[in-house]
Amino acid sequence: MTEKTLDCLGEACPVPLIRTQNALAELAVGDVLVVEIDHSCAMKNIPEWANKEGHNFEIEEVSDGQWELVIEKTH
Amino acid sequence: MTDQTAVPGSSPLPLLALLKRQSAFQSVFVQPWSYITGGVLLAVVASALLQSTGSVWGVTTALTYWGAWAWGLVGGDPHSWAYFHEVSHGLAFNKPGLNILNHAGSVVDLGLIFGALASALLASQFKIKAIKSGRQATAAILGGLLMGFGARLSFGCNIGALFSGLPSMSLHGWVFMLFIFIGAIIGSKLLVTLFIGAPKLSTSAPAATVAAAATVASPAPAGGGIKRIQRTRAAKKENVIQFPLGVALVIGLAIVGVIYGNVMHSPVLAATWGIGIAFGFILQRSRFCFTAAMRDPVLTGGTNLTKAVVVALAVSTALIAAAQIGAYVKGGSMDAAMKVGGFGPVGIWTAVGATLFGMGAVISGGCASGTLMRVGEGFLQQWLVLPFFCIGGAIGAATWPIWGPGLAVDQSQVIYLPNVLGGFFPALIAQFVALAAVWLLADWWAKRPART
Repeated sequence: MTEKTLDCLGEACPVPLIRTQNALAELAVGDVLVVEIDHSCAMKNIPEWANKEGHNFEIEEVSDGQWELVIEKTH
Repeated sequence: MTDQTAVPGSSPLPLLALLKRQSAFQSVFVQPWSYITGGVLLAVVASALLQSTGSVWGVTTALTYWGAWAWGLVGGDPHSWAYFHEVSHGLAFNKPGLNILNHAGSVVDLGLIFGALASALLASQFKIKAIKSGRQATAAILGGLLMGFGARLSFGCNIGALFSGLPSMSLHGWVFMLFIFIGAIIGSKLLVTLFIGAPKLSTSAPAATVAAAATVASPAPAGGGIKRIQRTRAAKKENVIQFPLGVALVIGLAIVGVIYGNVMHSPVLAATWGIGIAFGFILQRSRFCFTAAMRDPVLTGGTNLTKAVVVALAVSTALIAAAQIGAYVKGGSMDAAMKVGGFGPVGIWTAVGATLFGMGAVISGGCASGTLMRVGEGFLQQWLVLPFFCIGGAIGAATWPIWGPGLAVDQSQVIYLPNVLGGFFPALIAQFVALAAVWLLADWWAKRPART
């Protein structure tokens, strides 16, 4: 298993989501991608996308207005 | 999610800390609302603005005035611009004594910014988000200019033309929606090729080397979630500063409202201020984003926001149409009905302006309302977008003698659907059928088999 961290702090939509899609495409099934974001909309649209695609995900609020989205590639 | 349950043993504000853990408080003030909730509330509050002030919601005309006022401050003479003497959206500019604090359009915009700030503070989600690169700054400047300029040509932005104009059954709203979508597609292509930037991707240390540490530092998340190799930081500390600041800000905003009402004796400005704050609060809570509604179908395949925008437009149509029919019954003419709502002339200029606006919104990361909301949330990228939005609007107004005749703008070309479709009933049927068609199209688009 590999775990990669994608730093999207300060980036506005849709940059975090597109980078997440690209980064996840490079990973193998079972790998984990941690996306660091501070855009309040990305905290909603990335989980929505992951949910729609069927990947496992968790949201962790790591500090005020900053989140880590942990996505496990399932397919 | 386990992180939030840490008990702040020595919180200086134990009552507030207690309040913050109530689930009702969490779902209203902390967790994001659904897009539909946001859209319906925006429609209802926009209708309240129309009822209490007689004007529909708009964002960009005020930003153009801000740009023109700034030009005046550095020695220019914006009052002589033809735009402010000839064009419907600019006529109010030369009203004597008008300034940023008593111009209703400016007050609603300022309220929106402060409403979003209050909302972010109450949720403990305020953060100054830095601009990380020249690429981001370029996107912000270019996007702001395109939006400000485009909205002058199209007689309104995603709010004035789309969110207010379309439900008023003004054809320019429908044309704006079609072309902001086309602009968003072009903007998405530009964004992906020019402004996406290199991803900052790093790999965690191999599992073997941190395995021992991980068992100590990384407790398994609740619900047997995803196994992490490395936790990048300790659990979140209970924050005690932002929420009280938010409460203090709400009190301060209420005092400003009282000053508008009781000191300046303007109940209209007091209502406008309160409604602007409500817009900011709703936008921040729901992340309702017109740009994403237009952009995501092409860029990511998601249409949840698109469908929410359609629902909001339908609710708004019902509310505004009721007011228009009321005015028609009272005044006895279609002209009376057209006093209620947001109208603009429709033509090639609508298409050109909406396309430029859509491109700018996608590149800069937010439309007119979204830019103001994110200014309130502390997004420095939008702090940069805003002045260039104002400059773009001022450039559009200052150079109107080129674009007005150049695009053959005819301000009498206001097309009101009940006039051309033979009354309110057929126009409302056509309006709701068209909205339903867009909704079904969006629904089908998201569910169609994935392409590879």
